[in-house]
Amino acid sequence: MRAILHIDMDAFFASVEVLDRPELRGRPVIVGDTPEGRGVVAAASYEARRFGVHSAMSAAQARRLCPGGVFIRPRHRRYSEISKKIVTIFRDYTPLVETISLDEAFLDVTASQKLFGTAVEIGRAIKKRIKDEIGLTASVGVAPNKFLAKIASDLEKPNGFVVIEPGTEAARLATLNVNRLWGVGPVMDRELGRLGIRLVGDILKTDPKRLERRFGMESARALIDLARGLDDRPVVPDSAPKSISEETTFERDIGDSARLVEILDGLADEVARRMRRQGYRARTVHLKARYPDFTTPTRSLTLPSPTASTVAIRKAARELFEQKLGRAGRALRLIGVGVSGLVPEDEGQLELFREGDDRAEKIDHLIDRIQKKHGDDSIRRG
Amino acid sequence: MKVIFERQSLASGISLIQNIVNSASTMPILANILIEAGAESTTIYGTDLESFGRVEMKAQVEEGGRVTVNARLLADIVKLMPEGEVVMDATGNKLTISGGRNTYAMGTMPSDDFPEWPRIEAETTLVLRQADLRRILHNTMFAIPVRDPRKVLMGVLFELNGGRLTCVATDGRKLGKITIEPTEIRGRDSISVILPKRILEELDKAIGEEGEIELGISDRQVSFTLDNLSYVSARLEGTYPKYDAVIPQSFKRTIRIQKTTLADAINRAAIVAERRHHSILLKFSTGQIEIQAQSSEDGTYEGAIETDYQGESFKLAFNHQYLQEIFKVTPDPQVDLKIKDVNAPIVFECESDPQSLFLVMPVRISEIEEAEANV
Repeated sequence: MRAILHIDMDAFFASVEVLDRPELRGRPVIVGDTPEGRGVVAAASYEARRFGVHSAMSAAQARRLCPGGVFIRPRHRRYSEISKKIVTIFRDYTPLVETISLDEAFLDVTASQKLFGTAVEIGRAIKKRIKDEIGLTASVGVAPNKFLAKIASDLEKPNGFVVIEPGTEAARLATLNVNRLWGVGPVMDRELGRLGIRLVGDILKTDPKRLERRFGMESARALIDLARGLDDRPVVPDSAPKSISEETTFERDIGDSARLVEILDGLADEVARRMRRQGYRARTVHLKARYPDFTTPTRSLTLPSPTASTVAIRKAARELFEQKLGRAGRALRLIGVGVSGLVPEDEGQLELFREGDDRAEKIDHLIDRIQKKHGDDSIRRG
Repeated sequence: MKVIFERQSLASGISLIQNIVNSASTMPILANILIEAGAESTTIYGTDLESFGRVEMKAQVEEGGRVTVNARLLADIVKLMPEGEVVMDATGNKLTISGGRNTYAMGTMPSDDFPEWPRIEAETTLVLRQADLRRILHNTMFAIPVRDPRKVLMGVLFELNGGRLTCVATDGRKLGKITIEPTEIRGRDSISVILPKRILEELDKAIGEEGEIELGISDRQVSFTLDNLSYVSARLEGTYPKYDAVIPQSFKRTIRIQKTTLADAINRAAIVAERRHHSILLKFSTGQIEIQAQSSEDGTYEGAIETDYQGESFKLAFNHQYLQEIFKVTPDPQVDLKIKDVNAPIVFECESDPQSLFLVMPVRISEIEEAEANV
């Protein structure tokens, strides 16, 4: 059984502002564009949230809801500085730290328990150190996997500490709204509603066949797994990974190459996105396939220059598939895309001669930002 | 063939050719050098088929002829011979090398298999002072990338225009540029050629402060001739990036800095700079520059030095490695930092050398921080 922590800083940007300017304590602090501007709210203190202000809302609207709010322009370097200090605390307990953003991280403390006590004790210690050493509050979720840990940290925000014990997952989840599950966007939420499914518990009461008919085998399986609290994704540490890969095993073997290419594109997207999130570019792209007889060949392609571009990874993966592994019409059990030869991206370093597809790069970053803000299903490539 | 060399001069002759030789080639003869003893002179040749080198040696020829021998082997042998005479004696496919009471004997390969010296029809010939070429190499070669998919960057651009020769190298983040006047130009008065790093490194070892060097340029090759030494190299093909377009012409601020003082502070900051992007932050304000660095692993550094700068405060972020490289190549104790914009190329110039310019691309400072910095 794994022990995973999800640590989420409470109203992080706003809290840092209050930390630096204690006179703001207790006041509705709104970090983002000025209310006269056309920009949006990046973060709101809990005092401001009481007025209905939330992130991604236009600053002008925030002003209407909360005329007494203190509007502050974001200082990203400062947030990043504090964030690094927090991550340093995490690393005192485990090297397996996956930062999701400046204010959110997963920690795999399974092996740390021998050294530092139980996962719950480690979670409490980290929470206390963030408070004592930095002066901020965090919400902590302790659970056997990432999905549950994230749900847990959110349950009693702010300043929460929630443990989901193994065996209690389904009960804990049962009363949550289905839109709290990963992969359930507004469209699926509505579809589920039509089937009379509003709460996570309703999913398990529904005949799986009905779900399959409506959403297809893959999505139905994913929904049921999540409703049971199952999630086996690993915590991927931020420090110098050797490779990044994504693969998927099909419920039924797939022989339709158009469908396979579509799946391949999705995997390439995810690999490229993870690479960018972790600040790497890769020289080599790998394709892995498993045939019905379980032979599992892999092929790779080395690129002229390291890339983290979704388009470039997709192109290489397709090329490998079409030229090396996609033996005409032969069905596959599994397909996977990976990259290796990772080089750190010199974040922020400006270039004299802008090379490559500037536009593709901009699109990558735009999509990353939208997905980060509104969830993975908010936008998809054609 | 029988030739008597003086050990020291044979050793230095071999060292000028040895690096041209490609010991890893699939053609075994390319791992060899050719020694040619004629009535007038003795010459050593080496090549990897991209570059060719030859050096004329002082030697006493008892019997003329040609012999090829593995370059590294010969270099090792000559290095360990006692001072004094080294005698090379070749008969048929046998070669003996003796010095003092030491004799090596080995087989050789047919000297006729050795590639012929290329004939180059130079369209343009430039004569440069060796001291000027030295400055060119010093001020540009540091900016050549270690490796880059953009092949044209793996060398130095030599551009002749209006009687002046401008030389540039860049890796896309830093750039070195210098303009000199050749002592003589024959042929076309406007030409642009990229010379590969490899041959320039060899030249750098061969040239001194005195004397001149002749550059012959043909459409595919370039030759260098100085004293008893010649190199011929393939040109790098392709179009060099438009470097002129990225060098700012006007500046918002120029700040004169004491190089060693700032370099010392940067070296201190570098210890804790983030290993991923090596960035450090310089905060300029009236009378001082604050230097900051931080990394999640190692901690933070804050320092400050005094300057004559008067004016509004602003910040610049750099990869410290690039700054350190620039400070190494700038000649004066004082360097002028010329800034157009904190996110535009930053120019470094020295008063004593107005013909040279260095440039570093900074690390992006976000718009918000910029606004903050200008408050």
